[in-house]
Amino acid sequence: MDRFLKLQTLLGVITLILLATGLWFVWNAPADFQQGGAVRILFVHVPSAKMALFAYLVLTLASVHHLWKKGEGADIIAEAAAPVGAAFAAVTLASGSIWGKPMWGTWWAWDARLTSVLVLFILYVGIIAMRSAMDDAVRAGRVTAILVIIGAVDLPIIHFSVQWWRTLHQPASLGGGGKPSITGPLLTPLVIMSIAFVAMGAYLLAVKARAVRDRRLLTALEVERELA
Amino acid sequence: MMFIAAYRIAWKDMMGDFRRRATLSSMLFFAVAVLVIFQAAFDPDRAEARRLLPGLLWVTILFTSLVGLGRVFQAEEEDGAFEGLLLAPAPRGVIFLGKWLGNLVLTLIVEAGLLPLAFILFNVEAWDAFFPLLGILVLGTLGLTALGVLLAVMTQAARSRETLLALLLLPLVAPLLIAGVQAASALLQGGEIGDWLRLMVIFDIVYLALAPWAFGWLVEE
Amino acid sequence: MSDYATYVLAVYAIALGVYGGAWIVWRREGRRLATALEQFRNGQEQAP
Repeated sequence: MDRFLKLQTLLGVITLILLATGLWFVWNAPADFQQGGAVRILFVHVPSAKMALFAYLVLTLASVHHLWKKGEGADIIAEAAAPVGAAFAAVTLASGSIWGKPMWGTWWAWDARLTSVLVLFILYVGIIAMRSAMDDAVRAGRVTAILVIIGAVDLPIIHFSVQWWRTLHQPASLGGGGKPSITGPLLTPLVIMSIAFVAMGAYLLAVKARAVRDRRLLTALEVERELA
Repeated sequence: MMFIAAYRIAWKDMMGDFRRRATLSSMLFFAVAVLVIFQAAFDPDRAEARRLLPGLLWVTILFTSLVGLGRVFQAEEEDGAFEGLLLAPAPRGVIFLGKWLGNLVLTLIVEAGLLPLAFILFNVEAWDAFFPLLGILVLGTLGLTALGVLLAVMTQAARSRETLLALLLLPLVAPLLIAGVQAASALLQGGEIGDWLRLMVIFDIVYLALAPWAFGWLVEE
Repeated sequence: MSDYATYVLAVYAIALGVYGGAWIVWRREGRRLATALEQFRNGQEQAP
């Protein structure tokens, strides 16, 4: 247990170093000839979007494992992963919207990818609400796990339907064209920031999972004492 | 054999409801109320009404089905008969299919009443598109009710479950809503319809396959 | 940081607020629970 805490602290330090390195590269990155300085927004936006999806993958794997093996550990990971994913999705939405203002001229253009992330964010909120709305913790774990799996099946359908919807009904000049790809000297900060965000996600997950685990232990002990 | 059990559960629910006229009538009047609210809010002329009709129909159906879904297990809860239902000599998936069928029929009856009413109230002259349009509504309702009944089971034991049900159902049915509105628009105003129908069929198949399985996990002790 | 500096700064401030905020809140929550757990266990040992 103590060793686990040391590992977590180490992860936190690695995250800080990676973030500092990434930010140094971002600071020194040349301005994009099309987007100018606004390209710096993408160094936060793109890794956040990737992590919002990656967190859902972790959430799904933990949920499947929990349903299958009925292990408590997987359920703790699942409970902790939902708010972490929600945080990444929230930053993705905010940064995408702010990027859109100078680039598209509006805060919100119902861009296909941003719309999908918005649905993902609502789904994360629903998953958190589902768990907290039930008194029986064991049942809450199982119901939430099934909800996560339903969402995992639904997300690709949402993504494709929104994609078709936006590309068929919107001229490509506004929003439909999506974001230009990043190459050359702008790639280095993006890669480092992406790695840093993976470390940050893992660290946040560990911090939250520790709190969840302790709360469950405490509740169990209190119940035990009431019975005794 | 097994589908007889599903059919009996659905029949029991529908007859109980017809006798008390509870869910069906509240869904119907709720749907009418939504139509009135729409008219009051947007006051569309004829051309606008034709353009808005698909979205109006689907939004009304979505909200109306929330009313029905909140009561899917009401009868069992009042009598404490949910465990009894689970003791029925049929696989869990079949019990789910029975519950789903009951809700599906209620929702379809509401839709069959809603569609002509919407045509009349909004002065939309599209009677030749009546049955294709109803077909699109039916196609979407299959998946909508399958997902809805499943979520109703999941939120059954939760606090403030009706709010939770809406919060979960609305984002998850977004693809169905998009496809249904686009298909109906294509029908009324011309355009490509095949892709949207295909998307609805995929949604239906996914949820009709997933929901009985998930129900089995949910009620397992 | 010349053009669009306001937008860029806003994004980095929001990211700092959300991620840093989550970190602080969850760490505080974890510490509070760990302390409570510790006290509970000590009390439990003394009680019987």
